[in-house]
Amino acid sequence: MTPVLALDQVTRTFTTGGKTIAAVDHVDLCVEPGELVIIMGPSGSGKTTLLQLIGALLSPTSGTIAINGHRLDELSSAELADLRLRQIGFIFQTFNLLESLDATDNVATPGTLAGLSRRQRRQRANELLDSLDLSERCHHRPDQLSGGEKQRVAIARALMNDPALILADEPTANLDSASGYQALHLLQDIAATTDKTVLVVTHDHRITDAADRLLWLADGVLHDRQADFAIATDPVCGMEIIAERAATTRQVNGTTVWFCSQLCAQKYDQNPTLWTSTTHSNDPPTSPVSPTTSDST
Amino acid sequence: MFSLAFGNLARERTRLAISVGGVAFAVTLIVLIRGLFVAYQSRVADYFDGVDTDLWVMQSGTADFFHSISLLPRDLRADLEVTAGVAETQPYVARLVALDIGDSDTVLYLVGYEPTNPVTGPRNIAAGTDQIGPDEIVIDKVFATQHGIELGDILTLEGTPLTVAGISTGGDLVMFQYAFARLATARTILGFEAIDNAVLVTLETGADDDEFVATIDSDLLVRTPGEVVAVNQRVINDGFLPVIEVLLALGFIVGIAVVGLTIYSSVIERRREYGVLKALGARPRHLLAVITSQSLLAAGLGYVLGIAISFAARWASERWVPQFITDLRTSDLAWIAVATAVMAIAAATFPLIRVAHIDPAEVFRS
Repeated sequence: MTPVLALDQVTRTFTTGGKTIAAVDHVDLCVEPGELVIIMGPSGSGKTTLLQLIGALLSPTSGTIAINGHRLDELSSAELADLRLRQIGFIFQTFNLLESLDATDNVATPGTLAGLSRRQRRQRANELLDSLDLSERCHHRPDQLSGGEKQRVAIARALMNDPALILADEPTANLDSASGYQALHLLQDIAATTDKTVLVVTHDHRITDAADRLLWLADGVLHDRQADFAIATDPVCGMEIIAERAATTRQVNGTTVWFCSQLCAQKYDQNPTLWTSTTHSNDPPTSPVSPTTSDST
Repeated sequence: MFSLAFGNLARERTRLAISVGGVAFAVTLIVLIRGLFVAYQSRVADYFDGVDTDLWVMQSGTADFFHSISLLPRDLRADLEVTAGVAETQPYVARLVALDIGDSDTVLYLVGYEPTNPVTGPRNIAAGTDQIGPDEIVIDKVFATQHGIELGDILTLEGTPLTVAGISTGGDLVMFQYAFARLATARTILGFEAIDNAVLVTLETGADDDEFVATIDSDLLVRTPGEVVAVNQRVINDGFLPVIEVLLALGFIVGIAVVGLTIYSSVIERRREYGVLKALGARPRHLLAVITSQSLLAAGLGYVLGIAISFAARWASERWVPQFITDLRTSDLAWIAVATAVMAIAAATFPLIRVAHIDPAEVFRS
């Protein structure tokens, strides 16, 4: 079976101030139809660049990307636009709905771009909105919808042209817990029932249970989280970090606490009780790699 | 894409109002200036078009009747009348004459005519009569309105008091108006007892213009009515056309600038949305459709409003500023509509260039 998404040694570098940095570094990835893959990683890890590459919005410096068997480096810009239109559904962190259109027209937009007749696209849009329990809101504009509703409209829009791959960028970041779970379960349901591949990029650790496969991106390198890393959560900022790459650690009652930065550690030092009582639990390492306990002050 | 263009416009009402207002202003400016120009040309032509003759015989070297004056000996008419092929002749006697009305100095273009054969007389009588006596005068309605003159009032021209017996239309040349007195009266006032300005010649049926011209004195200038109209219209063209063209260009530029800036600012504000469209797979033609539709819609509304304002302005000027004459012709409204569409497309150019440079990858940055 042809994988929906195949990345082979994909690297993307940027040069700033005479220094070349690999935002995505020799990434290999193969995703099958119906699979829901979540890629996590801290800020600056290269998640956005990876999404732009997979979304055919950015060319890799080296390596190849194929979507449904179409190698992106072999396509013209017009063909890439067509591929994005028909093969990829985009879901954005900030929803990115068109403010002057109502929900139906927003959902129908990819259909318009694909040349569907007005009747065809409105029928399809209304079916999708109905399936996402938004039929009552179809004539509302984005500013009249809640965050959860906007994200469901965005999901419906992503499904409009029946794409093989859905790319979701932080789909729960601007949603409350309930709406976030609902959005993710929708994506899970779409992957399971329609055989579409869903690739979610997030740093929201609440949603990791939904993944068929969970990957970790750090410094542009993609890792199998379960196999490669001990992941800890900074108790101050809540960011997930690779334990062995923590900026600093503390020993508290015989337990190691990992921090993403010296700043978080300083905040913690000022009042440890405050942070241990927050909802950010300090995840125990899950890999064979033992976190170091040096640098304690 | 049309619904997105319409939605964007409808959602940005202030910007739409500025855009439509700008186009309406430009269209009004263009329509009224063009209307004024056409009206000037038309008024010059109106009188000469209505003079029923085959040929105008004038002094050699005469340009038009307003910048140069043709002076012919009065007995020339008798010579022309006996020339082969001539059926009838009429004298044309006319000149600008100054007069005082109240505290203001003004001028009239006084033309002499015979009420029994009013070839050179007033075109249309709006009030009173054209069958006037030796001490009576017919003045143009615009002149009467401007100076508050009514039938029965007395105007004094070169010391000769004349009673207003008729008010005519079609004799407004904007800068001055026609007035008509009996031929003998006009000769006395203008000092043209022994002079005609021109002789109007009606040829016999089947007679040839060229044969007539070959027969008469080669120092005389002979023009057809069409040539007389053209040469007098040229006065308006030469004097006003460059100014009119500059004003039309300004109107056009104002329209492009207003629409262009408002659409451009809209594009800047909706930069992310255009990025989303590109990320979703929109091709350049889709974005072209959205932006050009917006521009054309705004310009279309502005055009309709501008035409409405122009007609309202024309209606108002006819009542309160009669010297501000405008002729709004369907053909002019049609080319102004095309010009407005061109204006809209030109205005969409810079926004389109801006959109072309939006990187769709930006949409992944929150």
